[in-house]
Amino acid sequence: MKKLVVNLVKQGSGLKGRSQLVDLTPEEVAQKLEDERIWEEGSVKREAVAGRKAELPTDKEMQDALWAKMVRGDNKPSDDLEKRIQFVLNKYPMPEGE
Amino acid sequence: MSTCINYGVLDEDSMASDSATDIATQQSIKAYSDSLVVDAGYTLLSTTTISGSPTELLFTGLTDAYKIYAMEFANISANTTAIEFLAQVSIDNGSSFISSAASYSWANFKYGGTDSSSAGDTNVNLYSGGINGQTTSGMTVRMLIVNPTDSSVETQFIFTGVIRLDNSPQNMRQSFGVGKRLNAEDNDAIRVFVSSSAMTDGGGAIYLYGVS
Repeated sequence: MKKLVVNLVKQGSGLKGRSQLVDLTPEEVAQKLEDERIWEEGSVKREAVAGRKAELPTDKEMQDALWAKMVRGDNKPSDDLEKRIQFVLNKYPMPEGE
Repeated sequence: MSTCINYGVLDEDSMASDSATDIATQQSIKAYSDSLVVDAGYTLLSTTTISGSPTELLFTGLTDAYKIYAMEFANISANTTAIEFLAQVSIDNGSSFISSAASYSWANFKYGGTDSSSAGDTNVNLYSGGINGQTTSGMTVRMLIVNPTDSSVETQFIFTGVIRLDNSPQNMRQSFGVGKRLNAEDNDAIRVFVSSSAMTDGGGAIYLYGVS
């Protein structure tokens, strides 16, 4: 896997770009593969070619569902919404302490 | 009979005295008028073609030489399905990119598609609709990066263009979007990348401009 780097360097009174194709570091490759794994295994499907509505939960849906799940407990979100929330939380875990 | 009037002569490049009686030298007139000309416009900094199927594009070395940088992506394609084009910024000239939760907000509006947005994301999403792989032209977008190196204001993104979703010519979206880094800092590098797989050359290039 590679990345294309355009480095701006000062030449005279202006900037000039120099580009080069370089290999990703092992850490970057690992991160890339992990991102792709999460992406492909997740059940989230955003807007598709035919223009179907995005299936990501809205912020309001997320808040409502999390509130229901964590606080009230008597209004369990649907399995489908819960799966989608879990996917988002897996991809974007909350920082420790929150 | 002619009348001789004794005018003073000023050789004053700034025209600061603003005299109603004295005349100016040719040299000072030229110097003053030249000083009014602002060197404005787009300065092409680099032209880059996609090769080797990169997973990401890094632009490093952004300085305060320009308040606004403009990137043009002309016919950039994605070689697999469900691609999103994403962007992140750096404060260490590209050694690392800011990617923690709630670092960016963004919204994009798609004529022909579904609008989407995020108030707190790990990246700016330049097109969230999913691009299903092309062998021909894919994405032609212009993106402005506003005040990236000004540590007193947040870096902002404005982008607009045409996204071709697949090889069917009719499957296109016109996309307009905005994005913001949710912290004021000096961003000296920007990363544009795809959510999975790699970018391919759809017959175009990436142009980077400084705007003054």
